[in-house]
Amino acid sequence: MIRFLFRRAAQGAFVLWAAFTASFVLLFLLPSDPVLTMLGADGQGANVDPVEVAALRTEYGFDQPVWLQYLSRLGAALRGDFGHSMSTGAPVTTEIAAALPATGLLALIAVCLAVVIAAGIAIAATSTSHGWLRRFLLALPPLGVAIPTFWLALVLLQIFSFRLGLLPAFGAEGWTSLVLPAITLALPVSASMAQVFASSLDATWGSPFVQTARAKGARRPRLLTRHVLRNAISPALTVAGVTLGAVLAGSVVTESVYGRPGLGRLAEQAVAAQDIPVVQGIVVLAAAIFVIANLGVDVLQARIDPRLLSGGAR
Amino acid sequence: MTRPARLLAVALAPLLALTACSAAQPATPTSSAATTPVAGGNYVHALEAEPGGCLDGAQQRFHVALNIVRQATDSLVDLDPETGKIVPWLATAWEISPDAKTFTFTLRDDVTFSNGEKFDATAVKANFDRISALGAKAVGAGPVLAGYTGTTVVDPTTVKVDFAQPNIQFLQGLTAAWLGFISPTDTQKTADQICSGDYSGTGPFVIDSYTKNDSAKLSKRTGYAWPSATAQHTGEAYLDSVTFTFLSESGVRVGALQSGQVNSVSLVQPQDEAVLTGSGFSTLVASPPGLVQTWIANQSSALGGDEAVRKAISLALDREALTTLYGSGFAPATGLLSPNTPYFTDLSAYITHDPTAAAATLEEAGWTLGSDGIRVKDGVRLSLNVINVFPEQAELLQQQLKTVGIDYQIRKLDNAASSQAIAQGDYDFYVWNMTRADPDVLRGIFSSVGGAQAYSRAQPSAADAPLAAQAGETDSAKRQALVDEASIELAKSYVAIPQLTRAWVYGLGKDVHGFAVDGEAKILLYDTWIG
Repeated sequence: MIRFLFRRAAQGAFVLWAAFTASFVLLFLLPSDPVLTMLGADGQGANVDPVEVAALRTEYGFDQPVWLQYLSRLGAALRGDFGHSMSTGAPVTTEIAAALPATGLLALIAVCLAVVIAAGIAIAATSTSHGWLRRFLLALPPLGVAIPTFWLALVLLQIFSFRLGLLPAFGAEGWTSLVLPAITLALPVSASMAQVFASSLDATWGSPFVQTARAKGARRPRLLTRHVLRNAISPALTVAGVTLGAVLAGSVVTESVYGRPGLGRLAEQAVAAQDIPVVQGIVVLAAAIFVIANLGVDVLQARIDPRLLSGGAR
Repeated sequence: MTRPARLLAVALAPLLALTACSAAQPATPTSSAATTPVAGGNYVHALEAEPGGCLDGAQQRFHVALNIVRQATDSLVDLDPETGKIVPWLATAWEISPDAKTFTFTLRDDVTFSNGEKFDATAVKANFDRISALGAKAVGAGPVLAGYTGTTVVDPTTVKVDFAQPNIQFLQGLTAAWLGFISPTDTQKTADQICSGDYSGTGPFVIDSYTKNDSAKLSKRTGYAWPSATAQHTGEAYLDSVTFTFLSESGVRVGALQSGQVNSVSLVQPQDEAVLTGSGFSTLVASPPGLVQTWIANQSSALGGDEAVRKAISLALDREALTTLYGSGFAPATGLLSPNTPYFTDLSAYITHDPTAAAATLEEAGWTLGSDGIRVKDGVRLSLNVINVFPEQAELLQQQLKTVGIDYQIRKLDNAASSQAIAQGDYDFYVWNMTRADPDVLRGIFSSVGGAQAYSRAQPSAADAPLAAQAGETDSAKRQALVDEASIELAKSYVAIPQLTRAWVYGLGKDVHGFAVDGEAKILLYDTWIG
């Protein structure tokens, strides 16, 4: 187990370094000048004194060779210092820390909701003896994947906020403001989870050990909880780890439509303003969340299925 | 986001229509009869964007941020949007030296900042010195203070501001929110601290908190007694508190207004205007003063420097057709400045739609039609490299110019790419507007003298002399003559091609009264009340 964890942690560190480097390269390959962008933050272009621009460029270190900028940023990042936002001047860590709780809470609720919906659909579809119900339930996930987040958000708003007045359309105060954004984020994510889980359940129900257990007289509910779920959950867990990425990506649109503060909006604005330090901070954070989530999934899977640890075939 | 927004508007049209119907049913002539202002209430206004992470007026020229700043800070003088005249505010009187280099202000003696500090000559000096020290970061207030050499405190209520060169636009520039005053203690804070809204102004509201991407919360300043001469009442503001929220989706803004979750909204889209007015809501159409939507020729580029091309573009533009892209208040331009800008010059004679004449002009200059319908001269295709900050016009402009043989290349640029292209001169034309209630806005863009000609990369011209002279002319009749002369020079050489005058449409709740805008079309909530 220790060696397994060590190997995964080393892989994770590599992913973080790669994310940092890739974001740096991408941002520096962009043809635009971050200092001019900062001064013309409203998109009306820059009309300023070149001497003052040069002074600002020196202040932010953009006058140094690119490799030196890379090394000094990497060195600082290792110490947890991602520099200062170019649009607001606040430390990047402060900006992210301010945005993280709102997105974190939203993402957590969305993922939990997605798991419940996905499990509900998959178990119901694979357990029912009504063919029509099964077909209906299994048709839901492809539909869910196909719905654009943006459209879903506005339809939910139109019905539950503007028409029925049940929930607020914007803001981040109180639990009611979380309901619609959480559903918006959860539905597409739950769809892909449900799809994988349903087919995995199907495969497990058909496997020989289940037939053996059934032949020994085990009833369906007991079979499901004691035998089938344990074996079928592994692929769904893998998908769940990946969906965290989808939730973070979905937060860009969701937070913008619902006027909520958070990482998604911070990322959107930082990219538009070419605020390099903030973009890098967010990219590395997203990579870290991804790495940790997948590490968690791996550990969980190893607990559920010890065969994984020995490297044997499943 | 505009494209999906538009698609969505179509997708949601039936739902919106339903909402409109149900909202229209009661048809009660509710509170329009109420005329006596009622104090109290927590007001919510939905702005169309995040204020760019900064609530320091001096560091902003983004109107969204200035709309918030305006409620919390006051200016030395104000611009009456009705008359275009400069009127008293924190200064009761002022005097301009004949050379327009020295401005002396007499200050009110009863004004305090919300942290208790007194507003006096020393406070004025501290503010101007701070903005001057901000340098390039003072994108809003910096140009107003161009050539600033210092402020002299004559006595507590008299202050003298000096410039190295004539700077008549200073007086109007003072009226805008970017020169609202903050307390002397706050002027010592860093630029970033002030960005966070952590300062005390003298305004009718106090900024309590600003959470990026969420909201700015303000509360009434108790004891406020020094409104501008344009205000409808005296004493404290009516509203107890004001919350600005930032909703970038226009459909969400209008839905929030209709369902009573906000009291007013910014930037109502054309498709929503009828929905609102049809269901008993009202709108306020504000015309921002300053440079209208204008094709600014990059005079250092080959095509932007070609007068025949410029003239042909102006003649080929069907401005009336372009207005159909927009809602109320948009109209074909009649000058380089919008008609409500002080010192407006009527240039209708140079703004006509005549595709035949456009084609003839090009033909005469040697631009002949190629096989693909685009003109060619000496092997060069008449293909325009345009940076247009109004992307919604692109397809229509492309069609209109194609009819006379001009190819309009559609460029999709984000803020960063656009800033870069401008800095490098990578454009033939820049289509833009600039809110500023003073004709000096023309000098900043079209004069070849000084450092501020980035957009037009102007060549020396007959417009230079009058543009320079108007900046130092204290006599308003003479200044008008100089502005006229400069405007006509710019228009007849087509280095500036006026397109549309524009408008901002605000949506107002049924119980909202006294919602107003200032001389630069920024929101004023001082006179606003709910009832």
